[in-house]
Formats: sequence, C-alpha cells, structure tokens
Amino acid sequence: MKRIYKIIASITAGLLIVALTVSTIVFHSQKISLKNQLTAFYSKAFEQLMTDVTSLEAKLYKLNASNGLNQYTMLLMDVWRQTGDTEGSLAALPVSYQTTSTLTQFINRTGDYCHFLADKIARGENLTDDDFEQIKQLAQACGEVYDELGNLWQQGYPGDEGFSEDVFLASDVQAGNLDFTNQEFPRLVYDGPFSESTEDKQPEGLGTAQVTRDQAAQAAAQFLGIDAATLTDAGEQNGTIPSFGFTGEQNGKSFEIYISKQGGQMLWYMGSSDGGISAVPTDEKYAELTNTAQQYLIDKGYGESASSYAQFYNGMAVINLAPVQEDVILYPDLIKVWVDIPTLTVIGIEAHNYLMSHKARTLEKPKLTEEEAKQKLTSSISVSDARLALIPMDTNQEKLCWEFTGSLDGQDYLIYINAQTGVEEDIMMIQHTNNGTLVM
Amino acid sequence: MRKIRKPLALLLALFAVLFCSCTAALPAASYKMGSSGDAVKEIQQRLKDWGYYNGDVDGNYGANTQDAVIAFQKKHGITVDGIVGAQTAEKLGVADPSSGSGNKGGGGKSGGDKNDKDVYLLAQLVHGEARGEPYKGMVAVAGVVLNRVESSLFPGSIAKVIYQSGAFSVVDDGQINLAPDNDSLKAARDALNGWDPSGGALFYYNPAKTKNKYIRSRPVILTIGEHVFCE
Repeated sequence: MKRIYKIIASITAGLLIVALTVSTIVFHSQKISLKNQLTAFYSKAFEQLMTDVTSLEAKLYKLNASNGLNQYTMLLMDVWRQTGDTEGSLAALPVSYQTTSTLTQFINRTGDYCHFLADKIARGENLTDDDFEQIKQLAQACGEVYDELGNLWQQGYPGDEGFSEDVFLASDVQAGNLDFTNQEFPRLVYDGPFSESTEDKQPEGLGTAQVTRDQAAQAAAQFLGIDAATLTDAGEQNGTIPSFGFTGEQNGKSFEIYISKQGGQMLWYMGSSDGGISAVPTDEKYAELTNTAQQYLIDKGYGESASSYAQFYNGMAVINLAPVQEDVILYPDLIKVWVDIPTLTVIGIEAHNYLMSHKARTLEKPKLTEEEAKQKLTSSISVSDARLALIPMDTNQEKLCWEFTGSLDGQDYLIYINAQTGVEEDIMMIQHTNNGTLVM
Repeated sequence: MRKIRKPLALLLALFAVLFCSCTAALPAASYKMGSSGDAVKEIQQRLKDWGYYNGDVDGNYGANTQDAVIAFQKKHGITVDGIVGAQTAEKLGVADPSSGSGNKGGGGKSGGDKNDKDVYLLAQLVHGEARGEPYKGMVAVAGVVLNRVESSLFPGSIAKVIYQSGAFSVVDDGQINLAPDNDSLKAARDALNGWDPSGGALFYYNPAKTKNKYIRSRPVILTIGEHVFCE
C-alpha cells in the first residue's frame, strides 16, 4: 500500500512540474507577445507624432510663402485638421499629461488659430502682417518640437527603454524622457475658443459686492423661501465662480445650494430626487413641465424665458431655458432646470452660464427682416418657425441672428442667419432620442 | 472507485442543473386587455405621470390603458401592440411580467441614441473612480472629464480624455470596463446637462493615495468626500 502511495505521489509531483513548466512557457510567450503589441502601438504613436509635427511645420511655412486666398483657406483648414490627428497621437503615448499638456495646448491653439484665420477669410477679410508673423512663429515652434522628438528618436526612444514593462505595466506611468514642461511656445494673439482671452473669461453676471457667509446664507434662504437658521454650512469652493455652500432640508428632502461670494448670486441648487424611469413624456406633459420651469424662473426673478430643448432620465426632466429680452432669446444666458416628472416640482437649477454671461444688454435692431433672412437659407429646407436670438460664438462674442426651425429629408435643424449681415453663422442638428432632444 | 464516482455524479448533476437553468425558456407572460391587479395599477400610474393615461388608476387593463400603452410604445420605438411585455415593462420600470422580478433599470448599454456611448463611457469612469463617494462627488468626477474636453491643455473628446495615458487609474487597472450602476449613469447625465459641482476643476486626487507633487501643487477648489478637486 505504501508503495502505491509513493508512486501516486511522485506521478502527481511529476505532472505538476510539467504543468507548471508548460504554463510558465505559455505565460511568458503571451507576455512577450503583449509587450510587443504594446511597444508597436506606442512606437506607431510616437513616430506618427513626428510625422504629424513635421507636416504641420511644412504647411505653416507654405502658408507664409503663399499669396493666394484659395491656397490660404486650403492650407489653414488642413492645419486645423492635422492638429486633431497630432493631438490624438500625443494622447496615445504612455507619458504623463503633466509633461505633455503644454504641447497639447500648443497643438490645440495652433489648430484653433488657423481655423480662426480661415473663418476670417470666409468673412471677406484679409490676413495681416501680424497674422503672418504669428504663423512663422508657429512654424518655428513646430521645428523645435520636431528637433526634440528627433533627438529622442535618435537615442533609441521609444524602444525598450521608453516602454519597458516597468513603465507600461506600472499603474503610475512615468514621464520617461519626453518632457515639454519647460518648452517655450509662442503666445498667440487672436480670438478663438482656445485663445488665452477666451479661456480666462471672467464672470460678467455676478455684480460687484463681496458677500459674507452670513449674507450668502440670507441670499440662499431668500432664494428658497426658507429661514436662514435652518441652513447648514457645507464649506466653500474656489474656481471660476468662488462660492459658499449650504445644505438643508425642505419638505422632508435634503438639498444643497451654492451662492457666489461676489454678488451673492445662486450658482446651483440641487435637491434629492426619488429616481424613476428614463422615458419621454407626451407633448402635453412636456408643455406642463416647461411651464413649471418657466414659472419657477419668473418666481425667482430671472424673468421670462423660452425653452429650447430637454432631456428626460431617472424620473426627471432637465429643461433648458434661455431668458428673453425684447422678444429676443438670449442663448448665452442658458439656465437648466431639473423638474421631477410625477410631482411636477422643481428639484434643481444650474445658473453657471447665466452668471458667466448675463449683463444689461442694448440689443441692436435687426437690419434684415425675417423674410429677407429666410432668403439666405438653402431653398430645400422647409421652415416651420422663426424668431430672433442672440447666440454665443466660440469667442465669447454674441451675435444677433434669425433662428429658423426647419426640416430637410425628415431631419430637423436650427439655422442661424446673422440679422445684420445675412451671414449663416451656425447650423444645429436636432436629434430626437429616447432620452429627449439633443442639439448637435 | 466508488468514492470517486459519487462526487463525479454530483458534479455532473450540478452542471446539468446549471445548464438547464441557463437555457430553459420561461413561458412569455404579459399584461394586456383584461389583466388586472397591482401591477396594472403601477403601469397606469406610470403612464399617467408621463402624460399617456388620463383614466382612473384602478388596476383594470381596459381600452384606455391599451391606448395609453400604444402611445407610449410609439414614442419610444417599441413594437406597437398595446401589450406590456418585457420591453415595455422595462421602459415603464414595472416588474418584468415574464420573470416576476423587479427591474430597477441602469447597468446595461441601452438604446441607440447618438450620445449613449458618451454617457456610458463617462458613467463607466465615474463608477470606477468614484463609486462609494457622495453623489455630488460622482457628478464632479464626470465634470472634470468634461472640463478637460473644453480645455486647450487636454485632448478634445470624452474618449480621448478618458483614455489619455496615465490620466485615470481605473483605465490602467481595468475597472473602467465594469458595467456602471444606476447612480453612475445618472451622474454622467447630470454632468452632461451642465451641473458641475467641481467648480470647473481639471484635476482631482485622493490625498491619502497620491504622492504626485505636480497634482498636489495645483490650487484647490474644494473637497468632496475623499477627493480634492483642483484647477
């Protein structure tokens, strides 16, 4: 009997050793294969980045050497498109965003700036000497970035050093040798969504007075129609609109509200919802929900508003409302109102855009009549509605437009015709989804 | 030999049971004209709340209820038959008539809406990074992603921002692939609708877990739960 046990034990041990060896070999080869695949992926991203940057440089120099409007627009749009690819290659590299964020910003701004110039040409303006000077600086900066990348490439980067398994398997990815933190990039003077002036935009709708926490509590209580003594301090926040936070309970439900330190304005208020289904209500119900939200804004002192679109989820409707001044809908001041669908009660409001943009405005009289503006639309669209709207441009500017609601081949659109110049400023596609309306 | 046979038989039996329970088709049930009871009441109440039904919530599935179900089905692209089967029941949030179990929604990749993939990916990130955090903290994490998309310092889409190398630890450890829960999906939608409790933050970190000097040097906006949000 003992012998049998010994035999069984040694056979088992032998089998185990064989199994272990085989699985180790398989595991190791799988690991090598995975490593090779990842290295190939990263190498491709790195080398593609080099190609993209050098191609950007060439296009920018060509712009500088050209003297034809057709060529300008093509090259500018080409640079804009290329920056999107470049950004993608950069984002795919296993290096920390800390070291590449300045390069990402340079690429984004270069594309943004060229898009701005193409738009300028489309409006019938010419490129200035300053524009060409900036284009030249961008081309030079691309050259410097390429040199930096080229140096790394000559050192064998990425190779095994850049993407050793320690690097690509560690949870905290190392910066490696690729570091643009201290690289100097040209400062561009222009007006686009990524320009410094746009990104540093300060709120215009706050007012000037600084409020204390107690005054903020009073403002919160007044907004909600409750006693300030029932509010609890919930800290404060810095950021774009520094604010005081408060929590409390109303009708047995907890809520939180933030009041701006400057001007004591309501930034956002959010109650708790019971949750529920994500379904679209009937048009009649939607109208009731919109009325509820509009009446709420009137009660809270925002005045008349027009609804633009809505989303429905978890038993709630989020109604997008823009204040109306002299029959003009003010999209820059868009306010979101959360309404509980079964009870038709407002459970939240978000006024960030309103506080960033709202101000006393003197609206120009439109030069074009509705009929004149309508002539500027593509003839194939059938228009169902028209109204005047102030729309925010990417550059913080606002433009007075005729907003036409229309449909073409079963697809709904909003088209904006500049009420002064007749230029088609923007087109929005309306998507009717299972969660409400989306504007793209 | 006898000793081996018994567990083996048990194991086989277990497999058989598992296999059967997975594949056995349950009889299809539904609520339709003539049905009655609490479930029908629930259906009527939901239809009434969403504006499809104006009659009494009496638990009797009559012609008015059927019309309401038809209108609901039309609006949501469900096969129009006036019968509350599994699909309609799920959308109405009432107990699935074919399984007898309640459906709380969330979790799955639903619908084919154009922004569904953005909502889902954002919810996956929130689920991985911030589940267990206060709800506001979950929305704030989604807010950071959207603030990055808008910033020139980061790539310009939700997918590019989330999958940027080293940006989010849940991408590295694979938690990003978990199915998001209902709260995470709601947080993603709240953030996409413009609620940003992060105060415009581009970064956040857990002070107990990070030694990263760069991120610790950023100006702090506020703290929510375990996370510090910063510029």
